[in-house]
Amino acid sequence: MRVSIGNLNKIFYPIGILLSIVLWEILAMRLAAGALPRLRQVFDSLISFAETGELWRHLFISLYRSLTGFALGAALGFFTGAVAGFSKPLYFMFKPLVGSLLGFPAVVVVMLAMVWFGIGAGVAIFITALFTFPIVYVSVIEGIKLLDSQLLEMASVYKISKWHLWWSLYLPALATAILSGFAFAAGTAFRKTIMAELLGSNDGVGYVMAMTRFDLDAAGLFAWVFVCIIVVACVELILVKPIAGYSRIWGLAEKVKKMDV
Amino acid sequence: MGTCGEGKKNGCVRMIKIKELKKTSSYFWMILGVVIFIALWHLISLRYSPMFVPSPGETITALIDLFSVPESITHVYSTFYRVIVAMAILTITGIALGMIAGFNPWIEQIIKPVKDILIAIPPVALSLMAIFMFGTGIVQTVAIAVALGFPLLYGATVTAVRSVNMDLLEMLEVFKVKKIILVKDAYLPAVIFAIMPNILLASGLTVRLMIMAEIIVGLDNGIGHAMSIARVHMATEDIFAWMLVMVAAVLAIEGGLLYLVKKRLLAWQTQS
Repeated sequence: MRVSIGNLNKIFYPIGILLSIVLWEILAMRLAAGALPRLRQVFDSLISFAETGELWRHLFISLYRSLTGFALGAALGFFTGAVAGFSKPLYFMFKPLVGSLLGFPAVVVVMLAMVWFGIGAGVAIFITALFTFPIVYVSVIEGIKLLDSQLLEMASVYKISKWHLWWSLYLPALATAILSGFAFAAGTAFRKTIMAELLGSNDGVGYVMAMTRFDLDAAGLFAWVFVCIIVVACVELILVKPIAGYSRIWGLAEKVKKMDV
Repeated sequence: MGTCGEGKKNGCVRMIKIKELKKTSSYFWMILGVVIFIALWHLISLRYSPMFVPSPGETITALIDLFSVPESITHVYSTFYRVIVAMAILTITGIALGMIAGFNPWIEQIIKPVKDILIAIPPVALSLMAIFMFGTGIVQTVAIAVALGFPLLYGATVTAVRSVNMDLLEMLEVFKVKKIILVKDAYLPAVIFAIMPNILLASGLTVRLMIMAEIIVGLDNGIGHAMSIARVHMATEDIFAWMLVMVAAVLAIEGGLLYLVKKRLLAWQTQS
């Protein structure tokens, strides 16, 4: 009975999508021209971007930057996390710094990075790496915290070698935590790249979005936003969702996500 | 440490030591971490010109200079005014819609696509969209903060409504309490109690969003505006000073208040 009601309610999800589309169309017709584009205009500009090759060029640039930044930040976060996870003093020494980094608006650091690196790819890669770092760091730490202390005690009783300990105990236990940290950070990385490009770059998706404002091209902006949502949704569906189901630290990832500005 | 046996004495002493370390010297290590960070910052600032990396001392001087000008106080005031307006709208809509959706799962499903989109959209993109829709002004910045903070409070409310004490509800139903009273006296307190930490989390988020919106939109007051101006004038020490202000504000809201509320909630829970 309960299950069937739950399934029945799922029908309302597509209805919600339909209602939003209808509402959007009505608003688009009612509002002053240029405030909200019609859906058709958005798809027309999306197709024209694809045809001119602009779409692929800027998307490729942004993806490249977010991957580079992500790789740097994730590597740094993994190693510092692995070191700090086993050392209380280091953990507490990093705590206030990582805490303030998590609570920091990226846009402010973008302004600093613009002073340091000038306009270009450097800003985007730096920002992406900087904000990937704390997420991966925190998830590695949380993973280490979740290690079964009884199992570790047993391992120490049986005098298992360090290497063996890492290979057959730490890594499998940490795998889910690390993977979900990576998966979650991947979505963040793209968003941070867009933000950095918006202010401090002269190519990439963020830059073209900023340009639509000066061209008063609302349809173009919405088309690019659509592209962003597709990318984030792909990361979410391919990486985050499957891993999150198996991960106990999902609560943490949710928490970080709420602070993701 | 009741399980300490004769043979494991060494390990046992070590465990106790680690526990003591955790309790007494965690603050020591945290402070040491901050001190090392400031020392590193100072060393780096010696190598570069203050236009790139101002030293900690220069930043503090800039901070004092900033707040000796009444203009800066106005900037802080206008940002916090916007944050409070946004939080008020956010809390009321979040709780109201969350409760409606909590009672009616089909409404929850209808709202869900909008919520999903709001979560997936990059905040900067939403800011640009809001410029087209609302022009540049306070309405626009508040709209951004409300749109991006909404999923957080709404989602928490829906969960809270679903997890209201069943026994209590059953009893109220037996006594045929009116629906309005049921919502007002049973659901609302439980929901507010449950989402309090989320409200605080949302305030910290809103402060950050507001500053982002101010920078991207280009308003003519607020902390974000002050930072933009500092960047244009290449006054890096002013940017650093504003960053200090923001770290303090966000940490105070998220860390301090969250801690207090959690303590209060815990005290409440153990009493009952």
